[in-house]
Amino acid sequence: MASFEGEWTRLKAEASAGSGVRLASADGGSGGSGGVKSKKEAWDAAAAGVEALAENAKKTLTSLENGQKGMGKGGGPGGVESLAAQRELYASWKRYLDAVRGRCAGLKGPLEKAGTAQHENDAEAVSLFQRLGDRYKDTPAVGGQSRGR
Amino acid sequence: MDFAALKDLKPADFEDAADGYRAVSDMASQAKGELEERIQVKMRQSLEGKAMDAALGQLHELAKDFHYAQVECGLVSTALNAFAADVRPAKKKLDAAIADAEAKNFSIGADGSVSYPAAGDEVDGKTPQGGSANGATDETARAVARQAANFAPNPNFRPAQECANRIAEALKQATEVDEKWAPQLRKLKADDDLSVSDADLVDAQKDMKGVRENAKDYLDHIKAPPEDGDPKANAEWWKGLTKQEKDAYVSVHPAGIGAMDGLPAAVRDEANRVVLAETHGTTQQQYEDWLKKEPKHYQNYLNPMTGTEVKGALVETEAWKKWNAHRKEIDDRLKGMDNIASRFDTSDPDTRAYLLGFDNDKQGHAIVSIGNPDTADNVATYVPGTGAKLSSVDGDIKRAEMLQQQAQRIDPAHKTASVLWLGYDAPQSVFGDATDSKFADNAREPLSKFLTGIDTAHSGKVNSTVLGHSYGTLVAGETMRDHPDLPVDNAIFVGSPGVGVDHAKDLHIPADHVWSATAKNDLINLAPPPAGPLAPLNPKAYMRLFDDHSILYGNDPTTDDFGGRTFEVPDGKAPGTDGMMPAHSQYWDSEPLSHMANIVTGGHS
Repeated sequence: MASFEGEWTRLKAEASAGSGVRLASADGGSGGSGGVKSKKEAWDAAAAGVEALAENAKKTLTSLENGQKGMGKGGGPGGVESLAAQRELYASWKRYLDAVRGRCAGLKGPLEKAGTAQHENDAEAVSLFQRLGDRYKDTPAVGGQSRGR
Repeated sequence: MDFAALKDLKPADFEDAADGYRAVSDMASQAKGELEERIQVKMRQSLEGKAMDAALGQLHELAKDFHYAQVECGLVSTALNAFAADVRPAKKKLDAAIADAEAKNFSIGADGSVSYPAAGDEVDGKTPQGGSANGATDETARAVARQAANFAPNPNFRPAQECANRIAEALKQATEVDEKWAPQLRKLKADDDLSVSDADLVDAQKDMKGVRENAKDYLDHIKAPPEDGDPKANAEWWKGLTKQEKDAYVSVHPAGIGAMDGLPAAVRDEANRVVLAETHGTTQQQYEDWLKKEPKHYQNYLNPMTGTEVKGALVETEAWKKWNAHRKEIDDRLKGMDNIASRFDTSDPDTRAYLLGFDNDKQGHAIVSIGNPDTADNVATYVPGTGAKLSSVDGDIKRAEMLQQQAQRIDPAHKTASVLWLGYDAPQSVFGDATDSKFADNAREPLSKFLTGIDTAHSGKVNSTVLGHSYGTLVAGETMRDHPDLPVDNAIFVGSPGVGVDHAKDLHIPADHVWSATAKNDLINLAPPPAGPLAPLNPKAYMRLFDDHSILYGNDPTTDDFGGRTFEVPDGKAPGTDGMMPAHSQYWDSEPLSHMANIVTGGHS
């Protein structure tokens, strides 16, 4: 698993190996002048972090699916109603997890882009994230209730 | 549920499904931690600017998605396990009945009726023919069937009837379980969007309550936690649970687990964070509902002499002022919760915040440890005094943080965890409530359990210091006085109105481990003594106080009579120069802070 920690360590090693770029990180370096510090590596590390989360979410989807082996049948008239209920549950959580995974993956690109775009235009990077946010508006429904509260 | 359905049902299948949801919950919990404690923190350390803020906003939303999945899938897992546990007895009953039927060569029909072959002594030259028995679950029907069996010539009839009854009973039981759980499971369906609103969090809380109620049998079966809350018994109980059982408890009883002294700090922290997030959601919704109820803000000003309207002059209405005060109260509590949550954003394991207690009851309570008390060499527990409450928790956490930093600086070879223990209802006014010992009386049990829990949950030997400020010194003193075996090594009292005993030795630790300091200008020196000749209304009483060592609650711990040790603190600002009692709050300035850190790390002041 490409954990964020691992990714970060790798990036740090790369940075100190010769690229000449110093990471302003937990090691204490902050430096920088003016309002905007472009630290491509830091952005890339964050992008790698969310990518790892997306991978984990995907793996967990498999675990969730594996658990469903005995749950496929039954639940019709005279059957086990809880089986039918569980299948609805499963469908909803599969969809939710898939969406969260997508949200992680969707953040990766803008995070990487911000690392490069930020030098030029901070506002452009902001709009990248804002557009992402617009995709996920709350609907009045809460979990398990189709409408209203 | 019919015969075929129960026959096919495998409780273990539900448990397998439960494991799948548990994996989701665990993954989500980990992902949330990764986002909050690493990804966002590192970005903040390395970057700045609007793009970073926008990115953090999105990452924060993502963390909320994971939080929601963590809580809800944990509940789904518990619900499915509970269903399996609830339905298993019915399933066993059915399986046993089927086995008996097969042994006797009976066959079972789709409706659960039991057919039996011809058998018995010949009647009129014929073996009594076979037949079929329909199961009954109610007593009257069973009595009728028993009667019939008594006269039936075929000896198979009676066992077949009994078998059919057991099948009917099993089906009835299983159907009840099914009817209880199916709607509950449907309520746990995921939200249709990824924006975790306050309403979603409130819904999650309702789900928790629903699962808790329905899973009662299952959870009771696990083994209920000890009732008296003794930390050692709590720890034993926790150790005796399987991982699945632990997960189930945390999912449905986060508040209970979070408050349980003696459990590992990491477990309590995880549970309390769920409680905090959900309480924040509920309170935020309350706040928005309240905003909708804003009454008329201004009214025309009436001249009090003439009773006529003064043109152009407006005053705020009484109703609005009342409304606004309540609005502010809710808002301040939300800020307090935000202040606690802001402490979670750190990647440094030594200064990571552990939420060891939280609720919004009365003035609100919070127990926050900076650093892990289970692995620290030194633990300092700060008991705040008059005026402490959730809405002003920020300042009290800061004090705990400052002490932690200073202790770490002085003694870098050892780890120090510093706790803010706002686990009691502190008096809210200096000259009213604070002259009443009932607040401390009620705090003695919870504080003693907390301090004992620190020792119980610790992996080795811990050097424990209790630090009281103001009224908190009375709480600490009374707690030590009444619990001779309390695992506390040092006590520090600053700005004390008295600690409930006249002599340091009455605190059951060596007198040279009891440290006190009161700034010269701290008005607590003037706290009114008990009624009698020194009653507060007698102005001369205050003059005598300068010679008399007794203050509000026993001897002043900074005096020779008390027999403990003292450390130097600056005089402090004169009363009235910066708020009414500035000197009462200056014990976290650098000089006294160094003394306190020295004591906490096992040295001397």
